[in-house]
Amino acid sequence: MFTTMDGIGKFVFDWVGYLRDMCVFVYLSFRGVGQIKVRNLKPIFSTLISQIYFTGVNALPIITFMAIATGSIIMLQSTAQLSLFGSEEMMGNILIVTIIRELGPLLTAFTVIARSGSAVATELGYMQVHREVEALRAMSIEPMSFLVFPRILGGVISLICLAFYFNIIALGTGYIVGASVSDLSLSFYLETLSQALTPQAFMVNFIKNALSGLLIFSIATYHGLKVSGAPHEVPIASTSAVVNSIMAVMAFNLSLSILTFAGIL
Amino acid sequence: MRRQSIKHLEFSGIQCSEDGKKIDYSFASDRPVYFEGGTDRHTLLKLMLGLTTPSSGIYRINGLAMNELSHSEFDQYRLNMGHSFEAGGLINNQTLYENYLMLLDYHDFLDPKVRFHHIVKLMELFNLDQVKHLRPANVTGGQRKAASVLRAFLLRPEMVVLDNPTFGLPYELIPILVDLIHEHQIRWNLKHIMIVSDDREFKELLPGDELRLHELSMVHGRAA
Repeated sequence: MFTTMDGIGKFVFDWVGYLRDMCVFVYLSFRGVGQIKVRNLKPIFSTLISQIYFTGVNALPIITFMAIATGSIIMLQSTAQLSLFGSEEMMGNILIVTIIRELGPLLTAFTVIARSGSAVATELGYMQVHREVEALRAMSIEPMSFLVFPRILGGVISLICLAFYFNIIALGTGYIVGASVSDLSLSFYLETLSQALTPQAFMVNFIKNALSGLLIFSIATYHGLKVSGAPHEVPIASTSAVVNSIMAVMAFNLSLSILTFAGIL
Repeated sequence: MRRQSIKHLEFSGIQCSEDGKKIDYSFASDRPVYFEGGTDRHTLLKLMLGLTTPSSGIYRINGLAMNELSHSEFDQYRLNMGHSFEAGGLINNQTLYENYLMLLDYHDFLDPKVRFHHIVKLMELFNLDQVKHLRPANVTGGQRKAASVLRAFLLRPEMVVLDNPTFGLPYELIPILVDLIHEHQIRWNLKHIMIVSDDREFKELLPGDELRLHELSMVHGRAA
C-alpha cells in the first residue's frame, strides 16, 4: 500500500515540478523578447512566419480530411439517433458541443502534436547535438527568445486558425451529409446552429485552442532543448514531447469541459 | 546593446588540466596566444567566451570577475568576441548568407543598406559567395569550415577565439585567414587572438606566444 502511495505521490510531485519548469521556461522565452529592440526582431519574426507556415499552412490537407470525416460521422450518427426521438431540432446543440467545444480542439491539437510537436522537439534536439545552440549563445543571441518564443507564438496562432478552419469544414460537411441522407434544409440547419452557437462556445473554443497550442509548443521546445548533446537523446526527447503533450492537452481539455459543465465557464 | 571594449584578460587560479593544475596568467600582449598541452584547452576557450564557468579560480575581463556578471552584462563583452569551434555551429536550417545576416540583423550591426555588401565582401575572401544561398548541409565540408571561421570576424571583434581553425579548411585559404587576422588587427582593433591548433604551418604563418598548460608557463616568441 505504501509503495502505491509513494508512487502516486512521486507522480504528482514530478508533474508539479514539470509544470513549474514549464512555466519558468515560457516566462524566460517571453521575457527575452521583451528586452530586444523592435528593429532587431527581424530574425525572430522570420522564424515566426516559418513556424506558422509549417504548422498551419502545411497541415491544411490533413485537417481538411479530418474535418470532413468528423463532420460526416457526427451528422450521420446524430441524424440516426435524433430521428428516433423526433428531436431533430437538437442537432445544432450536438454539433456545437461535439465539434466546436470538444472534438474540434482535441483533434486539431492531436494533429499538431503528431506533425509539429515531434518535429520541433527533434529540430531543437539536433541543434543541441550539432552545437548550434551553443554557437547562438556565443554570438550573444539568446536561444530562448530566438528559438523558443517564435515557435510557441507561431504554434498558438496556427492552432487557433487551424481549429477555426476545422470547425467551418466540419460544419459544412455536416450539412452536406445531412442533406444527402435526410430532407435537411439549409435554413433549418443554420437556424439550429445559430441557436446553439453562444459566445460561451466561442470563448471555450478559443481558450482550448490557444492554451493547447501554448502547452504543445512549450513542451516540445522544452524537451528539444533538454537534449544534452548525444544523438540518441533526440528520439527520446521527441517521444517525450509527444506523449507529454497528449497528456497535458487531454488533462486541460477535460478540466475546461468540467468547468463548463459545472457552469463556472 | 552597446558592446564593451575588451582591454584586459586574466586567469586567476583557473584549473587547466585533469590533475588539478591551476594557472594564473594575465593576457597583456597583442600577439596571438596558442593554448598548448593540457586536456582542457578547448574548455578554456569556451570559458573565455563565457559559455562555461570555471570549476575553480576566477576569469577576469577588464578586472571584472566573469562569474559575477549577469548574462546581459557579459553579453556586452561577448558582442566583441568572435569564435569558431571545431564543430562549426552554423545554423543548419538557414543558408550561409542567412547565417551571417541573422547576426548583423539581431545585433543591428552596420547600416542595413551595407550589410549585404559586407557579407559578400567577406565571403569572397574564402570563395563562398557562389554558395551563399545554400544551406550548410548542401556545401562541402571545407566550405562549411570556411564559413564557420569567417563568421568569427563578421562583427569586427576585438577578440577572436579559434578552435583548430585550419582543421578541415582548404589549404589555399590558410594564408588568406592569416591576412584577414592581420587586417583586423590593423583596421578593426583586433587585440586578443586565442587559438588552439596543432598545425605547424599555420603557426609559422601566424607566429604567437605559447601558453603551455601542462607546464603552466608562457613561451614568448615563435610557436615551436
